[in-house]
Amino acid sequence: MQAHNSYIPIPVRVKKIYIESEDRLLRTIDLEFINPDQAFDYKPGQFCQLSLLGKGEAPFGIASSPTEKGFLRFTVNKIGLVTTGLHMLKEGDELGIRGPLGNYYPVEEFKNKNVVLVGGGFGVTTLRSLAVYLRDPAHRADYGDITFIYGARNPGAMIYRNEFEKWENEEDIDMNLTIDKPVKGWNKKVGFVPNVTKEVAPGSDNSVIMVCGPPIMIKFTLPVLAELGFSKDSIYTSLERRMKCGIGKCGRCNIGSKYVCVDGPVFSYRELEKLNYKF
Amino acid sequence: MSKYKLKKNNIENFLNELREEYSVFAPIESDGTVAFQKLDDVKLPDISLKRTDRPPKEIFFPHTEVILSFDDKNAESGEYRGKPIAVFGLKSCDSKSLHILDNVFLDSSYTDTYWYKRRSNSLIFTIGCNNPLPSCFCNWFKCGPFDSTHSDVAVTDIEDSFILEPVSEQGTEYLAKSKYLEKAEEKDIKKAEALKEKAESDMPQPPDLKKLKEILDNNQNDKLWEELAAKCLGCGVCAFSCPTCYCFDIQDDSRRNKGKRVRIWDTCQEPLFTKEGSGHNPRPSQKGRTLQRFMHKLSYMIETQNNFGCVGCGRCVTLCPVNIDIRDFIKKVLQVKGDK
Ligand SMILES: Cc1cc2nc3c(=O)[nH]c(=O)nc-3n(C[C@H](O)[C@H](O)[C@H](O)COP(=O)(O)OP(=O)(O)OC[C@H]3O[C@@H](n4cnc5c(N)ncnc54)[C@H](O)[C@@H]3O)c2cc1C
Ligand code: SF4
Ligand code: SF4
Ligand code: FES
Repeated sequence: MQAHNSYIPIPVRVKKIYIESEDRLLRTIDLEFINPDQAFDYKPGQFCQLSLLGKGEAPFGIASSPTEKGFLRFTVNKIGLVTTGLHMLKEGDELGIRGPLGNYYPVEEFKNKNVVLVGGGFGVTTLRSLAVYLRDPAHRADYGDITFIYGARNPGAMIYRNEFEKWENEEDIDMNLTIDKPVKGWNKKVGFVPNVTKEVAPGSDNSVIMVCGPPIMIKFTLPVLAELGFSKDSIYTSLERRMKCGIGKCGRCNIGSKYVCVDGPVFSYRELEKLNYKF
Repeated sequence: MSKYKLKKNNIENFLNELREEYSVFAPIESDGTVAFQKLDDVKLPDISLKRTDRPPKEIFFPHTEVILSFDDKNAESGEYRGKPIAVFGLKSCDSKSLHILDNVFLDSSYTDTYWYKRRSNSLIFTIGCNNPLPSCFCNWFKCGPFDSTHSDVAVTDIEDSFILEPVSEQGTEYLAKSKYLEKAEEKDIKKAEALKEKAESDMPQPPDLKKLKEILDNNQNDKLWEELAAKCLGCGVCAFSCPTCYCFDIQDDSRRNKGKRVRIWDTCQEPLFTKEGSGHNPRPSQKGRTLQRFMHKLSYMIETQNNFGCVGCGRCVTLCPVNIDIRDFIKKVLQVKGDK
């Protein structure tokens, strides 16, 4: 019954690098499998462990959608050993990947519903994956209205900005980009995510909503969602915890009896409440 | 099933014979500490029949284990490639602890290759405890001093000999072919049974734990936790010595382009254990960490694998430097009434 060894990273190569933020602390990297036979399929919301031999591993949400072929996308915030190592990579460099790990946004259950995506910080990475997936010609007809709300501190901290600005002109998605404080030259929304959500979110009828970002943002968005009438089953979030193994063995990432790395990272607000989880 | 007798003056031959097929571990005392050690020398040191100080998990889950060795060009898995492992002289609680760890490392979602490689085809000889220690409380958790559920062979020490009873198919096969066993006589079997009955009746009656999980789940804010955490030093001795605690860290150790990725025992009692890259720490205080250790054993594991995660071995009870006794805590919890 010996399955394959889940601790061994699969070799990948850096295909392309994009610098996302003005402070250069956020970088997006597209990876390709060195041996295409080892390529894996995945679902929006899953994550991977990126591995640099000699430095270690760290978990990152998959920012690309399974409907985009030929690359896996990650956006890395530089804060420590592994993330700094990832920022030093150049196009063509090799590294390792383990995944796909964790559960995903339950896209099957979302069928025929309106989907609202609310993101802050780099919590927006897997929401990009989900949005691309839902908007794919093969899937779009299965879903109702798609509303996207994304807040950043300032325009320079906004990731995927060019792409999201293009989406602003598309018919099949309602994009709402916002920054915390007014800045010269910014003619879009200004204000914190909870307030913008209150303003633009559709009614809760037949809608599901993903809220991903810093705990503080989620904390202040939840009461707004309650006001709008969203039930606890229709609110989802993706959690972060310190992780090592990513496969439910090392005992590090639990909330009560659940392991964020295998039972999550996506949880409904109802599930989190059962686990006594507080933002 | 037929029972066998192994004369004590034949134990060395028996274990050497076992070594032909298996890598054999048995409890050995050195410098006052009893731990499972691999029997390498032909001359066998004295086997200790005490409950080991160090937990048996280290046989299958070493304190430090290489996951990968790598250099510029290659990376190779460090998984175990030796002979199957046989362990002689585990206690019932410890055999059960291996079963609990099997449920963690070999659960339906992912197989932990490193545990699997050491554990597959292992042969477990569990020896009954003729004289349970005051710190023993295996009988609180549907186990007992002579429980052989999670064994391949059940052994009873009847002074001049051991009585060996096969439990699993693998145990049956192995015993049938050993040269050093004889058929146990009726009087030996009677003696073994009497020892079992005596040990079982000597142990104090366990409290009723049916409501324990429910009370714990509903009282996570009780001051009981604060009292417990206030005493705790957070040293982690309880976790490192516990046969069912399995948390580990993964670290890379490298010089130039050559190195190893290793996994090392870790503990939820360590303040940095859960500290995230952002600086946020979901368990910043000892209270949260104490709650984690006890809730994991006494509540969460019932959900994840329908077992209490404590096997009542008593190691943490005897080793905790500030005398925190999980039995006292459980008894206190059982007296808590109502939701808080
Ligand atoms: C499911 C999931 C998805 C994620 N997705 C993304 C993503 O898309 N993009 C992204 O950028 N990040 C993401 N993260 C977060 C990312 O995994 C972490 O930022 C990353 O693991 C940090 O690794 P590092 O080696 O660079 O930092 P480390 O060097 O491990 O640590 C950096 C910081 O952690 C703290 N720390 C760690 N160890 C110690 C110690 N021993 N002593 C004191 N302080 C310590 C300190 O604050 C230190 O500054 C995700 C995390 C999870 C769980
Ligand atoms: S051994 Fe005792 S003091 Fe040390 S962490 Fe465990 S309970 Fe706390
Ligand atoms: S918690 Fe203590 S008594 Fe229970 S199995 Fe672990 S070390 Fe033994
Ligand atoms: S990261 Fe190891 S258990 Fe979740």
